[in-house]
Amino acid sequence: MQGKILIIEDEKEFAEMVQLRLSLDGWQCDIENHTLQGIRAFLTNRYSLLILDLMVPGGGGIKVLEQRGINGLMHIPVIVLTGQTINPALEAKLRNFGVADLMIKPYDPERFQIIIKKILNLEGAAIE
Amino acid sequence: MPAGKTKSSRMRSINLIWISVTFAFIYWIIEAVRDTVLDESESLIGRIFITDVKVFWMRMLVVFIIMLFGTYAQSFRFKLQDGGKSTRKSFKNVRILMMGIAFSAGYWILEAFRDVFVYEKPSFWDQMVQLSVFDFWIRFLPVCMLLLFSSYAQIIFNRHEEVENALRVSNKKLTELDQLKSDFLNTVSHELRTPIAVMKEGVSLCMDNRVGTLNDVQRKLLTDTMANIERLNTLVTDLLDLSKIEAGKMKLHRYVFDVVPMLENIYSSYNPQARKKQIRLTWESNAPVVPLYADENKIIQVLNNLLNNAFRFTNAGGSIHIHARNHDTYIEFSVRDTGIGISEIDQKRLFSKFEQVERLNVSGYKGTGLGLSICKGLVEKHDGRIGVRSELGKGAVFFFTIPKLPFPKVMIVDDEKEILQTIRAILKKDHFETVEAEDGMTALRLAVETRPSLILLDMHLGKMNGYELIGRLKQDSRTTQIPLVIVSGHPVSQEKLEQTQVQQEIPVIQKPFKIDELRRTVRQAIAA
Repeated sequence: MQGKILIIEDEKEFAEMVQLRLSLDGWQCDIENHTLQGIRAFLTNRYSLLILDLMVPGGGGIKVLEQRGINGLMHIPVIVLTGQTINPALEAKLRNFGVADLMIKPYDPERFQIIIKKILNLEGAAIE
Repeated sequence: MPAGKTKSSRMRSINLIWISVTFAFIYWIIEAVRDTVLDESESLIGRIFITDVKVFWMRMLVVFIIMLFGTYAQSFRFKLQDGGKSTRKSFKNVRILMMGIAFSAGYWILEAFRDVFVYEKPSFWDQMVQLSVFDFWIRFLPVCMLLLFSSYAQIIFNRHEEVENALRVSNKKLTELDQLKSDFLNTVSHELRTPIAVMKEGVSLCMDNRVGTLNDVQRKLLTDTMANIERLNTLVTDLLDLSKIEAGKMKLHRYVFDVVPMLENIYSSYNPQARKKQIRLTWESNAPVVPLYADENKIIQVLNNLLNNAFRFTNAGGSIHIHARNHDTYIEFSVRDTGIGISEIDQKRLFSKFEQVERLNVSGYKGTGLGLSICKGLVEKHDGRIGVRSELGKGAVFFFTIPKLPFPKVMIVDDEKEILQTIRAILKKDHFETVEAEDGMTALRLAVETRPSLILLDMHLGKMNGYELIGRLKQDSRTTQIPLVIVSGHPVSQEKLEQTQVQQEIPVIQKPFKIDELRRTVRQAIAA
């Protein structure tokens, strides 16, 4: 059984395209456009992966990562997908949150798919 | 401009205390004149330097009231300037003067005591109040000097405070402005990249035949669209880089790296392109290991830019050579091509914004004209120099220098000798200098003496534990800026860390650690 993926991203069209790409590979995806709704969805459903934008209204991606730590969901992998420039300080901060990968928009679709596959296959055993 | 500034600060420093002193003085003279007019038995001078003690104290009372009022008014004024925030601060603005007054009173009383107990003068009260004119002036002169000195000190002190406050305010404003600039660049970057991401994702979904099969015309249209999306993306990235450089927001993330593997990587990433275009690509370094303390990504960016240009302007059958030359104080990188070359006139304006050299025989090339000015900005940020040697038709050599900086020092604090040795060996391999301490006190001393770029510390350190050490390092202005990394065998208590008032998050490496984890954390901590 394929796992479910949560996309927290405020750009609706972009989120839907990512959803389309992933659904063509058989993944089921939910989209949330707001930080707080994103956190609620993340905490209530069992997701196999979180795809997270950093600049989301209502607090931003970092808030989601904090909640993930507080609620003991560190085992759910996160890919950060952002248009922001990532400097080493931010990268270190995100790594400290246990982020599996960082991608800058516009991303390379091939690399994106490879990474998703790698992460979900790796985590697959733990989720079952 | 400077004249105006001095005038206004002088105006401000004439405070109400001085005005009240002047008023008191004028009052004294007027009183003396009045007394002389009413009773001509004594001269004006005599009236000013009073002969009658009763008259003196009557007058002194009024003077005190005037001065007290002046002091209070001034403290109130300071309070108003302060925005009425704290009464303590307004008191601070007159406290030296108050101290002067207290000392004067103390001196006066002591003198009276001395006269009674040492010189056995009759009554203490008489020595306090009913002095002879001569004794009075002998005693009053030092008091005057004391008061004068304390008000002068107060004024100097206040002026100093004022300057300091003005500096603090302007510093705060500058920091805010700086933050605004950063936020703006970040938002612009996000806003520009998101629509590009949407376009790219949509087109690439179609081109992957994921949503239906494309016919040839459709494929051709989408391929052109994709090429232009990439072009737009490059332009946006270049523009953002350039605005960052110009806003002074381009930060270098320096780390020690070896130039040789970097060149190897660059070579392998360009080799397929070289083969395709039938260009001979080579690289060379005059030393087997060339460690450099610089921002590796930025140097790769410069080299990529120069190589992209070289590939654009070099025809099949030509060659491109990448070279790194290790000199005593700097490293020189160069990219040489056998392309179309650049005329002398063009060479001069090559590194300015939006300048593109006449594109001879190069069809379909569309650059942004920003690449070389970005290169210039990145090299100059490293205090290096960039230049070109070329003749039209005979190829070009672009070169840049990066000065060698001393390698960063890392301090290792651990009470176990074996761990010290292990970490030292790992860091030495990465060309760091190391300073070692086995206990907290030594660590504090060495941190001040050697000013390391990073401190790796264990939390278990015998007498002074890690939390205390962190607290003391952060309190000392000489060591507060040094980034820290905790290497600990025990869980680190976030509560205790918060008590040390550490501003930034401290990365934690749990023992036993993996070598790569240590290297990566050290790299990030130093580069940040």
